[in-house]
Amino acid sequence: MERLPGRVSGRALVAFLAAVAVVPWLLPNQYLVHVVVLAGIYVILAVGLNLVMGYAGQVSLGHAGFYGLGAYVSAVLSVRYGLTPWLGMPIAALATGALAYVVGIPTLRLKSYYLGMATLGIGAVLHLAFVQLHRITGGSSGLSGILPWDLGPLRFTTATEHYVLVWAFAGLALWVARNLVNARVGRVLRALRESEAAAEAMGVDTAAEKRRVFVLSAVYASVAGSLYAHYITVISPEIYSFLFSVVLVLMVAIGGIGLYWGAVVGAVLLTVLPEALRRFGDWEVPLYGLALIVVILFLPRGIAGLFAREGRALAPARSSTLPSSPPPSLPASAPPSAGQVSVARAHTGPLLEIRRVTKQFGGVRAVHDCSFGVADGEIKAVIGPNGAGKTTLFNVITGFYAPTAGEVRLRGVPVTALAAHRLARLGLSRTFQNLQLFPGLTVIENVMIGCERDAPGGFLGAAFALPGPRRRTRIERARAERALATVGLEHAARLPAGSLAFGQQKLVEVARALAAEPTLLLLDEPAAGLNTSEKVEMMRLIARVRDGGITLLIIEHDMRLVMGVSDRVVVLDHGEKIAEGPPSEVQRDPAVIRVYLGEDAAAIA
Amino acid sequence: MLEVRGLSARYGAVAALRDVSLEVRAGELVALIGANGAGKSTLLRTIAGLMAPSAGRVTLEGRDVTGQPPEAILRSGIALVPERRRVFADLTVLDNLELGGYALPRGADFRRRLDAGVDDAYRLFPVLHRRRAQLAGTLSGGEQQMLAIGRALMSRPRLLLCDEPSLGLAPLVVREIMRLLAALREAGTTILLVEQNARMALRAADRAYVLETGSVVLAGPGADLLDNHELKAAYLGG
Repeated sequence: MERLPGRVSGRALVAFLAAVAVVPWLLPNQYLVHVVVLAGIYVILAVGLNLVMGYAGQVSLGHAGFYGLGAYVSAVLSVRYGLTPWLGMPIAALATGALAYVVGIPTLRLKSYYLGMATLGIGAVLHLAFVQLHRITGGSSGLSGILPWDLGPLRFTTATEHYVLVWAFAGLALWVARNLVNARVGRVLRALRESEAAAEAMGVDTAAEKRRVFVLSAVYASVAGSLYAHYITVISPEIYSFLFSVVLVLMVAIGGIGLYWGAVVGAVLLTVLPEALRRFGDWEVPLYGLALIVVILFLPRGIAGLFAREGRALAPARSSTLPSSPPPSLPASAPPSAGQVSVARAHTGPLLEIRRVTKQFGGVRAVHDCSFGVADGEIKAVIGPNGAGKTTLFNVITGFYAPTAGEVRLRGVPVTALAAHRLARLGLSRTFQNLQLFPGLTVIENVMIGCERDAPGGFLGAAFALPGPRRRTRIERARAERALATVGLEHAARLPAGSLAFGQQKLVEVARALAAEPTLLLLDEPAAGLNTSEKVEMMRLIARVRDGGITLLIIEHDMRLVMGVSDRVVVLDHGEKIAEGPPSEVQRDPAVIRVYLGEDAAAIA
Repeated sequence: MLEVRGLSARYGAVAALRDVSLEVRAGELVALIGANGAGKSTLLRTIAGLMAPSAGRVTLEGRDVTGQPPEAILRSGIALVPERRRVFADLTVLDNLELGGYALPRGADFRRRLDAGVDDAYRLFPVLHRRRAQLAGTLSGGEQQMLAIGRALMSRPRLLLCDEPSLGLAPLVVREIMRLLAALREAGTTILLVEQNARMALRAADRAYVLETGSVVLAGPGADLLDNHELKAAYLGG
């Protein structure tokens, strides 16, 4: 099977670590070896931070605090209790990880900069604690007499010995990061960075995914901190200030945010550059600043961005009308999960029931007292003027909005305001009117995210490249390819989704929703942006999806499609249901003609 | 008025436009139809300067505007109504309109011209006047489309590029927008229209071009193309 684009090659990693292994024997003196030991420690820090910043799209401004906590916990255990760093380091990592977990609970539910603000605070508090708790930490004069690293009877004294130790850990950190980036974890993180809504709609618990990687990143920082403390054997609080957090962010930014090798390049560069500039005396700081400005001005994707293939077009696109040949069978016949079955058997009423749902935004009533059901195997259309509340209703059903009043039931079970990802796992799948694709991911990766609802998790298995997650990736890949073939876009699998035309992007969304193998599929304006013959294809596709056993609820303005495929039609106006019935009936309803269709309805079909 | 000669454009390795030539005469409404991914939006974006062409020339009234930055092209008289409207959702309707007039020449009477433009937009779309203090993101789809057109007209363009104005609009509103484009043409604005609803576009257009995989494959008066058999099979749904 060909490799997915954006994957980090294992061979490159092995080659890099092999090159790293000979470095100390090429350097003329121990001071320079010391510099590359530090570089190794910073690589661990930057690679961990890049997982959070580059992949999950969250900024941490408190990583110096986590670095410090790792250093202080194992240093204090060593100074006060004579504990070996081999035990101190994991204890410190546990403590730091636990702190990050707690910080992550409230902040990672929210988007954008809340993690940045919270970690800024945590970093400041930790720094203050290192200074103020002087009985334990030695205060501002620092802590000395920290036990050095050892290996049985061998005590590490030279920089070269530490070099081997530090880079062994750096290699482990790089290997785990690579495994995660290459596995579904990396794909999911990049996806939620681009559209959290779509990731949720596909069954991804975005808060949990972000929290896991944030905790891992804090653990990386803590391990780096312990490595440093027992290498230098003296630590003092000024190293762990806000300024160093900023330097870490800079390492990632300059190397290339979200590019695997970027963090490595940035960390090494920002360690070595000040040393190289030292000979310029007073000019060191301005030259350093100038170098940073030059990189940011001319290399917006960072230094590694120069060499990265990620995000470039990978194969020539063939644009075409949708193929009219009958596509392969639908991926819709997968066995439902155990939970679904038990719910399914207990219930005989409609699949989906909307009971007296009202949704208000401030004073605006978007949906008012709306009730209807969707029967198993039915195609139901929702029509109505722009602004009638159709999409709001979709958002209530799929868990994006909590209704102000009313209830939603799936197979008779109340699911009102369940989190979107939980509804997705129950078999609800949807597309979005205004496109919520992951534009930077390839088409096939977009569709693979559709498989997320089945078996979330697998973080540790992925981190250590266990066979289970790898097998799963192969299965998901095959499922995604089938779904792509269903919409006729298999030729575009390796293109970045953002490079397709609008109508094709809509089809990718449909494929992604189909890859979830849902019970109920909600399509929000599937025909928007399609031309007349493509709409005919869409109608056939919808009919095939239903024949595959999937129930559909569709918002659409194209009357030919609505009248052509749906079994029943619900009409909304100003948030209220004004009509419901078979298409032929609704089409003749005077109220519907007045508010929506217009008198000359036939003229535009 | 607008002349496009041998225009090519690419996304990385992907050729999006291949040697496209077309012209739009003053006062015409010309439609551009074709499948998804055929390059229609890319063509409009390239004319508007949002994408650099890899070959070819774009001239407006004999003046070469190829490869100029979008603001310069706007100042020379071409305004784009982008696909999916792209109104500034967090700004008011009035702010959106005034930003459309950003390219008007600055001078003593800049404010007066700006206000006059806003008044014209309100005359054309009375609903925008009622909603003038509302955030654009809270408008319905049809109202947003009117705002996008009104915003584009603020710079007093001689050529209006319209990228799929009917997208996602209710049938009643689609007809209103099409009537409006026809009225604009009557009033002397030249229009190049991209539309998925080929039948509707061909009815409204003086002439039309059919784009396929980045190349013009068919051109002619709208009425002739409506009767074209191949076109019927491919785009008009029989």
